[in-house]
Amino acid sequence: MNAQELQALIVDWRMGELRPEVEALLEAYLAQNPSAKEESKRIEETLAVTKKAVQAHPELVPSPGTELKEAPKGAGPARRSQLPWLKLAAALAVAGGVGLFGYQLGAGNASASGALAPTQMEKSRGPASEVRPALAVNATPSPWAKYRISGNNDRQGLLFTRVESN
Amino acid sequence: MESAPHPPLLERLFSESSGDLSRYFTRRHGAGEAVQDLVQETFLQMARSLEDGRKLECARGYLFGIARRISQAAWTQRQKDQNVVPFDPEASNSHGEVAIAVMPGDDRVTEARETIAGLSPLQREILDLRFSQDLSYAEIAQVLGIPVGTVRSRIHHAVAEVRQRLSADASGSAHLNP
Repeated sequence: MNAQELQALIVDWRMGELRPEVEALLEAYLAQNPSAKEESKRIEETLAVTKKAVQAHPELVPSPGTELKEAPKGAGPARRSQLPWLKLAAALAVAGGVGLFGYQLGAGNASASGALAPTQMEKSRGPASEVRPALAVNATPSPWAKYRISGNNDRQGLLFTRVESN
Repeated sequence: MESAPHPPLLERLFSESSGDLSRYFTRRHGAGEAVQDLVQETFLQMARSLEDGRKLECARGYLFGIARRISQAAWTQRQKDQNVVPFDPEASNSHGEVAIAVMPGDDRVTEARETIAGLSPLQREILDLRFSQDLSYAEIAQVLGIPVGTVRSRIHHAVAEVRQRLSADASGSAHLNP
């Protein structure tokens, strides 16, 4: 039990919200831990002062017309994912799927080695418009948008760049 | 089958909670005859609910839930009425109730008051229902229509905030007066 959990238990206990068996366990714990007992006293004092302040100051009560709903938790700044590797793995899976789909759609009956070879070449060429020679060679333009996927170290993820076809 | 009202329950609620309801309305609308009307209206609606044969797991919470809706309706009506200046609890010092004795120079209560004033309206409402009306977590949850866990967490947070403020001021005083 960490300090926060102990404080929460003590507050609930002082509020009379604990079940008797939990109450008995907590009392036994407090009897064996002087520091926890001190903590209990401090919380009790805080509750007493809080109660006094609430009772003595009715102006603290929100007017009946006040909207009591709080902002949803998601309304704050976006939190960074706790599992960046999972995001990366998901992005990789999507990228792989998109690449395979695009390859099958655009390369048609080109062989796998033939389709990959220009991709190696495009690294030396550079321009995004020439990213997928296999698609460019194809006489029938694909209706699907084409993307180039590359690493983006700043964002710690993959960068999807739309490739304009002629 | 019992379809008649539940006089024992209503009588018990009236004897146990009419004073609390008066305080509830007084803290929100100020003192006056209107408060008793609001209390009567609350019990009237409660009696109707019992006549309907509604099963109440938490009668006191249900009663205060009715009181809350009546309070909101009265507030809205009062706002619409151009001839009556709306009661503003924050601008008024007279609430018609016996003031709790706060010793002059009771800095801790003042500090707690300042901290509570900075909390969200929901937290302040929960604190009032708990410390002024003595409602349980479950009853507060029923009154406000929120989960019990929310009531618990908001109370824990409020107590932690007050405690932090009191501790900070205590340590500040200790530094000033070693």
